[in-house]
Amino acid sequence: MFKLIRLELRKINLRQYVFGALAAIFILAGLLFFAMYTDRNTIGATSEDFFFVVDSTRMVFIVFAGILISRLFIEEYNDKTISLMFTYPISRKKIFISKLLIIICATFFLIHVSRIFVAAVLYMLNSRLDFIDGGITIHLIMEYFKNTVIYDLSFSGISLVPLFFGMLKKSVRTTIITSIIIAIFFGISNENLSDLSIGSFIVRSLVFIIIGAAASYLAIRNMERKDVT
Amino acid sequence: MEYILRTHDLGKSFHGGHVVSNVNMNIKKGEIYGLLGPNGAGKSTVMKMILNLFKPSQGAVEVFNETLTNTSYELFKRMSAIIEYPIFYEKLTAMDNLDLHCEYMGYHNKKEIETALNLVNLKNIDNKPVKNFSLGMKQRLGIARAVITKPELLILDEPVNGLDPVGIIEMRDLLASLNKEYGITILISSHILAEIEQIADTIGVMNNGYLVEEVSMDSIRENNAEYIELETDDAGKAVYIIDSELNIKNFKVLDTNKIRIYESGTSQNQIYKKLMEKDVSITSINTKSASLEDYFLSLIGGGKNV
Repeated sequence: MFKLIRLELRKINLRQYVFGALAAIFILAGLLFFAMYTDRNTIGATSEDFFFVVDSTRMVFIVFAGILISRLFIEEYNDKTISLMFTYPISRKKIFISKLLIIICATFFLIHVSRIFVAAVLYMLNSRLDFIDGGITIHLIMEYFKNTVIYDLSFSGISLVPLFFGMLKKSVRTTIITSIIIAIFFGISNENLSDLSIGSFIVRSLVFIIIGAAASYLAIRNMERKDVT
Repeated sequence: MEYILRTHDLGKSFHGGHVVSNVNMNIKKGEIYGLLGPNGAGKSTVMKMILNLFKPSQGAVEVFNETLTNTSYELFKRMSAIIEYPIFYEKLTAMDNLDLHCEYMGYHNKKEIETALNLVNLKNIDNKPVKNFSLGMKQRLGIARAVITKPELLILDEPVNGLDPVGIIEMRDLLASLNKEYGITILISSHILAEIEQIADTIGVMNNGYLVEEVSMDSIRENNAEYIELETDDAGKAVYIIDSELNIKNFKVLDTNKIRIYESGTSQNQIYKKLMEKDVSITSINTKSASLEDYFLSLIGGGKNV
């Protein structure tokens, strides 16, 4: 499986997409920060706003997952390279699972890392500019991250939903549009931050993971029995 | 007789329409099997079913004495194919494509990549991505990729498309030598008859989704070696004489004044004399050797469908 993942990565230029996504993070987080910073006197920024900026960066990676789905799944069909892949002595299931793993791992890893990074930068900015009412402590940030790891993973789950819609007609456009819709509906932070316990995230996480698993299962379930066109 | 590939009543329909019906192909180990047929006869569909890309609506494919199922992946280690046109990861270089192929096939003798590129005479490919290749170069690269692993069965769908005349001759020699030197069984499809005629051991002719004939080249050469073609003003009378007086049954009237006699053991002289005797004027008479083309046309309906 590890070898299959390595070979899949050779076919796409993952680095290029990661750089693109990181650039988007900078812009998005930058904009949100400035909005928060300039409004600090009229509205007042709180620790909730702090986490709002941190969490909203995941929107970028939901769309990023959509782009990976397009490259790894949809374009293989459009370029007919999938019919080449299917003449190799490798189970179709394994091929698809290796592709899914790339998307899940990359999305989870990047969402998590970018949140930590943005949080770190905001924390440093705050210690200089002191724009958050009541301040923010490292302890609070650590606690928050500890409780939201599973939640980050669940976003890799929900990011797989565009696979189902994209595979229906093998359309890159459908895939990207679906991922943008999901990014807007679920990506923007709307958590109730008064309760930072793990329990408040777990139900939502499980629902997202189940939806993602179901979507990918439905998208690829009949692969062994289907004609490749 | 050992068969490397057989199909049993193989059929495929799409949305209720039959594309391939009741195909019983028998490919012997070590031979070159030419699959002939006009465009749309179902050749590619049959090949896709052999490669598990299409699932048969009826019947089955038997490769290396095993019935092909949805999960018979191991069998694909022993075969290579090019269907319709060679497909590559276009953004990658030729070397990357070939290297990936070896990895996926589980083949680790990477030196063979160079050998294969030399075999197909592909030069100056350097670090160009495959998308910059011409169709002819892609065909060569496709063949190179297909032969790196020295498969037991090589499936080629119209491999000479896009090649220049020199390339076609090179390709023919290459296939013949792969077949001889490495004992690779080759299934090759084409609508260019002359190409297949020269290298195939067995010919399967497809038309409208049916395999209308499967015959060894030797027996075609034997049975269709020669025919006598005569032109006359009065074909009706000539036919009568040929049929009843000369007792020749195997002939064909091509148009109003042209008759072809296929029956072996008839002499041109004898016919000439008899017709003159009966006062049938002959504009021309000569002995010709039938090419596969004529045979092929006769199988798929006298050229009407082509």
